[in-house]
Amino acid sequence: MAGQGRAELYRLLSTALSPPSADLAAAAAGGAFVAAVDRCLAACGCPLTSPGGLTILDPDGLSRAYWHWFEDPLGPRVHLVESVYTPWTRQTDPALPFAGERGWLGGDSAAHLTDLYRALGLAVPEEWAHAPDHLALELEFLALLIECGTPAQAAQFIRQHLSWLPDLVRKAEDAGVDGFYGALLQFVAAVVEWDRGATR
Amino acid sequence: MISRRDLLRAAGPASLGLVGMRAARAQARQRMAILFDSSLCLGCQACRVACQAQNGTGPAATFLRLPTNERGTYPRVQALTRRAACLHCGDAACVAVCPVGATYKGPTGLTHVNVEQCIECGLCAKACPFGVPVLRAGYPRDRMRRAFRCVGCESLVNAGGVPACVSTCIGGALRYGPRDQLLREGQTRVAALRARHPGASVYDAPELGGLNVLMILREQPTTYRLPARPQPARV
Amino acid sequence: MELTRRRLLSTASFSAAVVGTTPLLDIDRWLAALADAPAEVRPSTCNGCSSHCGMLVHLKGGRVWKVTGHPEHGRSLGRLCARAHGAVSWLYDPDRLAQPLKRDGTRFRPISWDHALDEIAERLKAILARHGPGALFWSHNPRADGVLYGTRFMHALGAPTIVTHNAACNTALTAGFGAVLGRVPEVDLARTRYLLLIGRNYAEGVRTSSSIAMGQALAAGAKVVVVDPRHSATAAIASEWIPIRPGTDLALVLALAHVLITEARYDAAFVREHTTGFEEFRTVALAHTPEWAAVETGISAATIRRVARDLAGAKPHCAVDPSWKGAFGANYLNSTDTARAVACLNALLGNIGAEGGLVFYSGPRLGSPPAARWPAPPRPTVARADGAGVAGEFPLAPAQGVPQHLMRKAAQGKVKAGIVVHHNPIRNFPDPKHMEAGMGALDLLVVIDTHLTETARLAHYILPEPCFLEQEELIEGIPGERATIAMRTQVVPPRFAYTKPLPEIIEGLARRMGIERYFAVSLEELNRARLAPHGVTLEQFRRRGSMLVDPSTPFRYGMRRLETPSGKVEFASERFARAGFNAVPTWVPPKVRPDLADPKAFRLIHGKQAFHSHTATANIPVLLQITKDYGGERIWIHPRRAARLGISDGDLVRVTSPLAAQTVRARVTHRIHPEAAYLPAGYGRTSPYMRTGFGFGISPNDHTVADAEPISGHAMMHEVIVWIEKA
Repeated sequence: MAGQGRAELYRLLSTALSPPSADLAAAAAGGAFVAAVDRCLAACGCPLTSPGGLTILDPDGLSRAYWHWFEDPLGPRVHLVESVYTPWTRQTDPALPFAGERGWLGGDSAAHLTDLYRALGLAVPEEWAHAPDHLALELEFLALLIECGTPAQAAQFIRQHLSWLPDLVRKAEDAGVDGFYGALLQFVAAVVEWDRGATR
Repeated sequence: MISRRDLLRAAGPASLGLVGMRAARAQARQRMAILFDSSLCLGCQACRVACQAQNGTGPAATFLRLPTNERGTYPRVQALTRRAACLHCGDAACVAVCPVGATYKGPTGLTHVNVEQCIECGLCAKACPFGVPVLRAGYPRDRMRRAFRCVGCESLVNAGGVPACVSTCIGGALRYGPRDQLLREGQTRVAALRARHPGASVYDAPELGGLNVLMILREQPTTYRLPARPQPARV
Repeated sequence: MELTRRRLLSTASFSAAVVGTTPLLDIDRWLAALADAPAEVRPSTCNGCSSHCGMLVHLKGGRVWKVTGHPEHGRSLGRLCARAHGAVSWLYDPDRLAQPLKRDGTRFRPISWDHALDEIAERLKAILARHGPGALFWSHNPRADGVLYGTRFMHALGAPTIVTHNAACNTALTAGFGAVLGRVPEVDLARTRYLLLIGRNYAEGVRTSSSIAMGQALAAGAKVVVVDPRHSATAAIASEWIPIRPGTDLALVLALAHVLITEARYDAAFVREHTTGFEEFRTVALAHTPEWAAVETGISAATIRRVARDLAGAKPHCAVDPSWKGAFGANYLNSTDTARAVACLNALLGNIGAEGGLVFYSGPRLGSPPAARWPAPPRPTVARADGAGVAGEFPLAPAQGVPQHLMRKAAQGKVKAGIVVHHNPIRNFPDPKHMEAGMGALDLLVVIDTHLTETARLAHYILPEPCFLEQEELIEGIPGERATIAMRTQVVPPRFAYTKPLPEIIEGLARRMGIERYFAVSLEELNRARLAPHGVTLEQFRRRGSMLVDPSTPFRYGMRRLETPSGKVEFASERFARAGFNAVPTWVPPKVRPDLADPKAFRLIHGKQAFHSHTATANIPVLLQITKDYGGERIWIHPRRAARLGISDGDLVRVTSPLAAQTVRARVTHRIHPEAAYLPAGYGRTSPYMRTGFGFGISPNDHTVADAEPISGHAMMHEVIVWIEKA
């Protein structure tokens, strides 16, 4: 499997899952984003095709859409954070009423990645401090792992940290996430699912 | 070496004698108890939430219920609250019948459960004279229907600590200590209560080897929907 | 490719070589290692209610793992209530406000801190220039930093209007006890022999140290008598429950005084030495016989006489509890006079300063920075916009203020700007539409909070604070036999980077408003100064969190000079007379009464539950589940009334008033006065942002008319009639 294309693909998806820059919006509107994704898919031999929804008509609307679906406190608040979809901890000794529950920040995944980033000399920028297990960070870390680690490590990371994506997609569907981000979340889940199978 | 599980299985579910021996060994350390004074319980639910936290039952399920039985008519009305949870019988039927040793007595005399060992047979639920254990799926985290009941805060009490419900109680209704001593103190309190509540008593059950959760009741046990003379159920 | 050049994870010190070998990558191994990690304990304070109990926070791997009560804190005494365990979830709530927001039509959009503070300061300056400092208000549920920073900020701008949540809680009590005793005393609970609780509900309006003390009193054999239209959880463990017609507590209290005086059972020596105005009070009390009170209250004259004699028999080791909200904190048209009468009744028992009676505690000594660097701004000279202390409006209203009147002024365009800090007046005062009309009419509403409350929804700017446990706050002093010094410490770093503690927000605004000279001392310096008299460094105190010290005035039993104008107990108040009110408390009927011939008409009363704090905790899953398990949101109705209306226990009923029509399930119970319906007050969240609490249960405030009692300006929370029928 072509590592470079894979890492680049995850970086692209990570960028797309971050609060959108003007560059991203322009690329998504002009077709450059889809073209880059398709190049990566081809480079790593992935049979998936990029969905049409990743090309947008209104570049100005992308920031609004990101805000609306993912951040607006009056919106549906589809959190792109692993902790929210997984039990807060698998440890049995904490004495907190929500310890085994889903729906909270700062769970095992967040604490694990915080320790891991620190050990590897990676710094999380302060605006992401609330969620070191945000999907955008996880995909970027996966890209690093593909480049610098072993295939087994990447496979393990996908298994351990990205198995919540079907829950995210379900949540996004329930919330009615459409357009670029609706297509993007489905596509990210499909890419990771393909990778999981390919790296087994 | 023969494991405890094998030992119990070999002895069979009705091996009360063996349990008695184990209890006697436990007593060598000191038999402990929780004293619940219903005449001081605020019903504030601090115990419930501390227990949910300590034992990881999640917000939707709880080992501790505090049902209130309303008696009488306006304006002569009583609201009698009791602690509906495992009473930690001295001769615990749940321990006796558990075929795999998942329910067992600790050195304090409290009854503990290793839910990972539970095989969802339901014998404890059938045997309990108070109908406490239920089988609950998703506890602690899988699809199996494990025995769901107060587990006696095993790690806390074995380390010499106090059960989570007791250490958080803000009404002075819960205490933890040597059973003999709490029984005496409970009887002193009952003597004071009898001036206004002739039916007051410490709810204990000699037929069950005495309870390690002693309840001070202001009225007859049956008014709290407790059996007057609890008997071990036949399984 | 351009798009991926901007990376999220900074790789400045990244070592690629380590990746291949790190054992940390496997979460299962990481978890196994975590299991053996040592737990660390850091002290802080709870924010589950305004008692701010000392809390020990147990951490593992940087995460909160458990909370227990701080043993060396006068309010927690080593224990925590249900709310404390629940409140920790706020820390990990993904829906917390993460960044400053600016209104954009009906929505919000993010704005940077600098832009937000610049714009707020500009708009504030313009409003102050055009309308003067009377057009600005500050609204909060006081905590130490809000009192200090809020008062300084407002006074530096010449703005006097600082209102609190108390007008919906204990303003009548503050005004009434203030007039008679100078301030509100506490009950020496653990040593009392006879305690009369008029609406006070220690089991459900919970402060840990108070519930512990009441348990001690009961266990020691004290007689505790509860007068309440509802058989509360306190009544359930008390010696006796005496149901009373709601709104008539004043009649009972006057009649109790009548018995003490006519039967010469009061403490004549105490009255002679330590009081003024007794003759005037005596005249009023003599006119209010037990037989008369029996008609008003529904309590037999014999019972009234018995209670009075029992109180007298236990004097001075007895008390009629001042309460907080109880029956007369903010409930009825006659509540200020009820509070005054209760204070007078206690004085008749000679229990002021007595063991087991009413006692005044002092707080700890707290140091202050040198005045040269920490000048106090001048006191504002313009009148308060809420009418508190203003002739012709609410001359006797305490500084807690009259927020509901303020909102009327705002709706009329007379108030232009407000800063609301970490509380939710729209949901917690009567008639949300009235409160919304006021807040909505403001030119500038700034809300500082952690969550998007009903009030925050109307803000022009929402400024997010860190959660408790994420910030070090101003050191608090708590009065007591032993006083407490406590500090909310930072236990974990703020999870959301773009949140700012209140002091930083105010300092930022002050700089932009040109009043930074009043904020030249940092929070850390202030805390060092506060600790200075106790020989403890801030570094040491961060590890200790809370400590018990001698109060500034050592506690002892006995009568001291009171904080009244005469220094004595004032049965008659010149201030009241000068303001045009009765000098001594006199019978005033409640404002509304249900039509007893109407089978559907009830007075709606409400109260607290031990597992919720107002409506602030209804969004916490583990606490709301308690409500669900026990039907805690249901409306209580007497069986006879229910039968007449064809309502069975658990039925859905419709609750109607001129303001609203809502449905809720009924609890049919003998534990309620037939003329009253009781509704727990912790529910009915209307902000859809509250995922758990939204739409669950109803709030009595939806039915209660916004009004202010003429003496102290409280909100008369129980002056409301509703019609109940099967839905």
